[in-house]
Amino acid sequence: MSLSVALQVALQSLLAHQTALAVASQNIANAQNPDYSRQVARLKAALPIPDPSLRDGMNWGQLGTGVTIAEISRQTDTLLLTALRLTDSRIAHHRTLLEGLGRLEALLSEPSDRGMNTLLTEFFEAWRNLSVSPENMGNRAIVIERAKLVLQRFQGLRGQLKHEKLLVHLRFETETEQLNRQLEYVARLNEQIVAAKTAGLQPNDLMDERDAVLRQIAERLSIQVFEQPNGAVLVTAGGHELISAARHRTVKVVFDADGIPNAVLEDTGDTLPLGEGMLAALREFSQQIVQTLQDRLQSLLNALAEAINAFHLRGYGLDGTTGEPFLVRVNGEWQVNPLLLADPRKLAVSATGSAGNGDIAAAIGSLAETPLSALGGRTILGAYRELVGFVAARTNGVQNAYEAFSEVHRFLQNRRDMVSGVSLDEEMVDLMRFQQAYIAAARVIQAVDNLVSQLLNRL
Amino acid sequence: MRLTPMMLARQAVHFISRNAEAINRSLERLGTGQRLHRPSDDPPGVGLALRLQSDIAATEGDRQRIEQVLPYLQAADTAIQQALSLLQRARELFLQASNDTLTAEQRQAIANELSELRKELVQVANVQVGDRFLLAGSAILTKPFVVDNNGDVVYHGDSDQLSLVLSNGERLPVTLDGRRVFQSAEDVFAVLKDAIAALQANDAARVRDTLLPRLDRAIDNILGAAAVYGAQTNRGERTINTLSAQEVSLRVALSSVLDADITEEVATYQLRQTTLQATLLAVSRILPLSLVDFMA
Repeated sequence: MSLSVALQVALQSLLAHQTALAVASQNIANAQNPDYSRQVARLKAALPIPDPSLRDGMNWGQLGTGVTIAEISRQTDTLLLTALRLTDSRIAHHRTLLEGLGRLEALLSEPSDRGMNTLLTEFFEAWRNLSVSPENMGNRAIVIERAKLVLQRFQGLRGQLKHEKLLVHLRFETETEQLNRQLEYVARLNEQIVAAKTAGLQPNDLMDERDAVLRQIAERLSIQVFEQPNGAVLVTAGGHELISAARHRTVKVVFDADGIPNAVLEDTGDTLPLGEGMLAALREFSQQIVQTLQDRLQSLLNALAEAINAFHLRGYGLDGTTGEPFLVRVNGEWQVNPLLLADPRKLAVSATGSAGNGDIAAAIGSLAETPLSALGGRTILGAYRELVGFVAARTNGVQNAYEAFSEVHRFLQNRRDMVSGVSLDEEMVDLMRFQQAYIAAARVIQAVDNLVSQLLNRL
Repeated sequence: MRLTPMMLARQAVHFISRNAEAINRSLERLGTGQRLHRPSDDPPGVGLALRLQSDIAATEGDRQRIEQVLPYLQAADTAIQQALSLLQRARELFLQASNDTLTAEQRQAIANELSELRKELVQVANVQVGDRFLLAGSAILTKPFVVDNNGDVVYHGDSDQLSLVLSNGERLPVTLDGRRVFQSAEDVFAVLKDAIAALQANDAARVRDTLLPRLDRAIDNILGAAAVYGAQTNRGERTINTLSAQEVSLRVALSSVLDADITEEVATYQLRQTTLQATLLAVSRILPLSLVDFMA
């Protein structure tokens, strides 16, 4: 064995630990980067060489040639990442629903003395008060004013629900645009990773970036990710291929006949199953929740108007007017009959035509808690309470699910960090280890140098 | 288990925000005194609260409406009592006039008094509160008893008895059919008119034999109406008491659904605050700990 071999071994050690230090430094630098996966420089003894001085019979002995970096590995757990993507979808889904439902709850503003429940109750009370003194013009005016307030509230709610739908559809479009950009980005990352791997490199940081973007995609819709041997990932959603190697497909928004947005693949026109995520939640919110509220409000208003009119048409006003409806549809909107607005004496309160009879008003007043076949046997106030209960139960359920998934998400995130996260203390210890190894290697060089100079000086 | 600073930071933020959220909720309850702020706070509770709010409004409305019609009931009751005392007086006069020893002048004087009494009776039968005639059936704006050119009293009201419908469907009569009170079994005005005519004709026998029994029948009829009306007035007053009691118990029920238990809230608030302080303290002590600080 020659001294130069020892020198070579020491030099290799210097370089290897220098690299290990660089890796530790990279880890420390990215300690606060949530998507970063800890990298580890794996040290490996270099290939030994046969050495004649270690001959044992016919065989030459082997001599170590130092240390090399076998690879810089990335500490990840694909199973954990898959589970995380799943909860990412779920959390985004429930968070999106919750945001929308929160706005609806604010819209209803129940329980309070400003909500529809109070307005309806006061409206029916006004009719009952009128039934006691049908000749009182003040009571007649109050009935009309209360009716206007109820109608205004209905129309206000309907307008806001329509606006809510519009906003949700707009958001659906922006999120789809975002999704397309992310799909394109992953395809490009696929390309770069495959190129790097083919060249024998380890594109650890690119892979981290790809995992991060895949999680962002998962927030928008449920995806399945399959790693290919060449380093690329195949991404599918509900059986439809979204990304394959460097190719990606574009998703566009198509509104169906009911005005509900769908995500459709641009090339084939197939509707993409959304699974869970922001897009599915927006669709569900618009199609199931807002639409249900709209439908129920409308049928409530129609039932109310028709039930009141059925009585009102039979009644007589103070001036003997009869056969007039209380509410009329103008351009599809229920309004107080303009005839009554102009002259409240025409309000048909009397069942017999005599001034003191208030039976019609009494009958309308008790409609509040009368089961109506138009509402499937519900009462008007009962149907409204059910509508509030629908939003309440839905919000409550989504909230509970969201909190449960948040716990799972936090747990998984912590598990991921256990595997992939950077512990500064650990890196500090590594730093010291590699520093010591570097110093030791330098010592070896110094020792060899001493030996050589001793030899040279003595000659 | 490998612990990284990111995990610690995540846990710290999680616990701090969870406590802060709970404190915010407590504060909301303490600030408003209400337990329910949005439907999802307690879905069944909100339904119940809405129902109770409507029930309270209806109960309160019923009570106010009875209070509003009670004066009508009382006024009509008083009027009928007045009519009865007038008719008692008329009966005495009938008996007096039946006495055979009376002279024609004396009978004429009685006839005059009966004539005044009859006018007064018409007035009493036209009892009115505000613009409202109480014994005209549902024709509350029409004067029910009018003396026509023949001196006969004609009923202009109708036979429709108005009633107040309570939320539970019960009915409380508010006006009466005046004809049924004064003119159904026997037209009391006609009896008086006949009596006056008989007395003017000095026909004591007719007053005694025909008209007195007719007057008695009329009085019996009015007594029946008075009994019914008096009972309704009492019922109205009792119902007001029942409704007031109901209103109180409904309000208590609403309060138990809607209102926050302040004592409990304050205790929760303090507990949460202590927990938050402890969390903040722990986080501030643990997070900065690192080997970095101990390296030369």
